[in-house]
Parts: sequence; structure tokens; C-alpha cells
Amino acid sequence: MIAAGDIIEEWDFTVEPGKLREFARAVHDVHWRDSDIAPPTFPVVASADFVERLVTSRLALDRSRTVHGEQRYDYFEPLRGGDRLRCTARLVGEEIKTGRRGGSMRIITTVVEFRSIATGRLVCRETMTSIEKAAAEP
Amino acid sequence: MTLSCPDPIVYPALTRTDLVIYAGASGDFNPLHHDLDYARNAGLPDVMAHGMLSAGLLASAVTKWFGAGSVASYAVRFLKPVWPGDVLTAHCRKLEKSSAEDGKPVACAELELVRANGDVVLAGTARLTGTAVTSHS
Repeated sequence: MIAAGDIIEEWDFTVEPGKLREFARAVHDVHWRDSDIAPPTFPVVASADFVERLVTSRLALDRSRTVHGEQRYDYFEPLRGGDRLRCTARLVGEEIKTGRRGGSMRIITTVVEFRSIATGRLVCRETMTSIEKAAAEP
Repeated sequence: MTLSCPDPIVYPALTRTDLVIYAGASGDFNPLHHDLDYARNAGLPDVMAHGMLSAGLLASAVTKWFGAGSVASYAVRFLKPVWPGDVLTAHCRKLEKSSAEDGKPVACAELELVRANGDVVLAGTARLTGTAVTSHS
């Protein structure tokens, strides 16, 4: 059982310039041609595997009724190609509410902190809220 | 102090290929976003665009308007599902100069990503610093 505040996972991530360009193209970011600053939502790439494990195994959410509620990024330093990051994911909230049509709904909030391995400084903090809606009546 | 908002940015109609490009680029392989059989079995009319694709498009508008290094925070709420065929437009609805931090100007932008039928699919805010703020005053 994971409790709020627990570190769920820690991993390292390298911001590969090729990945940066691929991501920038996918979100129509025009800056990658003349800047190596990552698009604002690029950290999602660093947390993709973690989110996959969180949803499918750690919390075992029913993906067909799980929706993304909110996403927030706080930036402390520009993220650039070549940066190496230490990523720390925490569960910061798990709330169970009764849905409008009965049944229970889970609201899960996780925070991932991205810290520069070179300087030890916090580069970015990502906050994600997911909602597993109540199961439909049989 | 309210500053003038930059002009909206219209993105080309989303295709299923755009969803696959985003899946590969982001590493988000939730089958709801690319597997039509899976999506239909889950009760959806089509594959659904990744919420973070919409969030990424709106963020790209922010960096185009204000510059890549100017964003201090970016937060979005996912309001409606987005589908292939949707034409999305990024709007800056309000740009408010707020308190200075460390002597640097700061502004807060209220953002929306809107579907052609008028649905606000994504609502967001961005806090901006530096030259981005002064150049729009």
C-alpha cells in the first residue's frame, strides 16, 4: 500500500537532443530550430514510464475510465538538451469520493521533481491529477 | 495592469497520425489514443487525443507568444475530450502584469484551447517572467 507523501520511484533521465526535436515537432513547438530549451511540457517524456507503471500496476487503475484531470509545471531553471536529471516521484494525494451516480471515484495526485545531476538544483516540478471515474452500473 | 493579448494561433485539423506521432514522442502508449478497437470497446467514438498533446499545443503557443525561456509555471485543466478532425485554436484571454519577483517583471496569462464548435477543451494559466512581459506592455 502506498501512502501519501511516499517516494514511489526514483530514476535518472537524460534529455536527448533528438528526443527533444521529436517532441517539439509533435507539439508544433517552433523553438527547437533555434534554441535548445525544452518545450514546457517535455518533462512528461521523463515521467512516461513511471506514469505507465503507476496506472497499470502500482495503483491498478481501470484505464478505460481513468481521465487526466490537471497538469501543472513549475520551472526553476531552463531545461536543455544534454541535461541529466534525477527524477523523484511522490504520491501526494489519494482521495476517494462518491460519484454523482453512486460508486466511488478515485482522485490521485502525484508530483515528480526533476533535479539536475550536475548541480543538484531543482529544475522543474510536475504535478499530475488523474481521476478514475466510478464504474458504470452493471 | 492589463496588457494586450497576442493573436490566437490556429493548429491544423488533428489527424490520427498526429496522435501516433505524439504517442511516440512522449512515450504515452495508452491504447485509448491509437487503438480504435480498444477505444470503441471502452465506449468512445474514436481514438481520443492525449490530454498532454492538447497541453503541449497550448504550451507551444505560449512559447511562440512570449519566448522559450519566459515560462515560470504552466498549469492546465482538461475539460473536454479531443478527437481526430478537431481544429484547435490557442487563445490568450487575459494578460495581467502582477507583482515583481526579485526585481523582474512578472505576468500571468489566462489561456484557452478552443475547438472550432466553441468548446473550451483545455483551460490554463502561465506565469511569465522577464522580457516577455515588458515587450507586451
